[in-house]
Amino acid sequence: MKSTITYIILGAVILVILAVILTQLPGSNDATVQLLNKLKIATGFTLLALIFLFGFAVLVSIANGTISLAGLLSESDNVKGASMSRFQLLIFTLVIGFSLFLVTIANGMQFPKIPPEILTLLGISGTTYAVSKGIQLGSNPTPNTTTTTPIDAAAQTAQSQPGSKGGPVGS
Amino acid sequence: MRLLFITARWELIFLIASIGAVTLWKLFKSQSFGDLLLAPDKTISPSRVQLLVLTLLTTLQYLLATIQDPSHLPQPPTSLVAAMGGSQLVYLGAKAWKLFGQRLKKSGGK
Repeated sequence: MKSTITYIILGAVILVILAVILTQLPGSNDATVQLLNKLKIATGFTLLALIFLFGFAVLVSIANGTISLAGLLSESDNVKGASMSRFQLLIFTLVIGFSLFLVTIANGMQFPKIPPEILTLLGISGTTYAVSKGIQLGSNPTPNTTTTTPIDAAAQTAQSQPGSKGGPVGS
Repeated sequence: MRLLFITARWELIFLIASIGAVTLWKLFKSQSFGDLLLAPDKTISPSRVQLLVLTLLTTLQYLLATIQDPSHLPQPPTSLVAAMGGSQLVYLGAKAWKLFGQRLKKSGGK
């Protein structure tokens, strides 16, 4: 991962140096503008290729199980079964995200205004998930453990040591 | 420049669609969706059924409305939002009653 970031930074630095060199080249202003436009397009395509490769890597990782989705809908770690609130939050997020994407593309890449009802729906769904999680955690019986203070623990250790005669620690 | 925009648009469509499809495929493969309707004691839970039905109907209606007119995000009716809120309350109430009610009954009987 570190080497990938290094390559990305290196690529960005090379592009910046190229841009600076192109602006300083002797010649007419039009030629420089044309060259810069070409560089802009080349940068765009390079970024597109990078994004595609990252996206494809994520896709392959999900498909072959490296990125595990096993717990995406699970009720909890120890209870097998799908959680309704998780499922609802997932469906809402996917549908609203997809709709937003469709509308943005249809409006020439202009981000649309999000109606307050949509935000309310997402808020309700998120709150339900959080409250459901709280109910679940609150209902789990806590294991019956006796609390041990550090002083008790030290006394127990001293008693268990051979030849300590059960006296107080440090005596 | 136009070619760049077109490529970017199709690349995003491809990536989002394929990641969505693979996610759904993996979910269907690994999760039991039958459990969505079951309470922890493995009986069919009416509160879960009503929430699932309302969720699926709402999302389907919203998706169809967006596909029909993608010029803006459709505004869901306020009554639908209220119904969804009520449905969530029923679901949470039933869940809380199922989990805490039994404990209250036990402690009250002692």
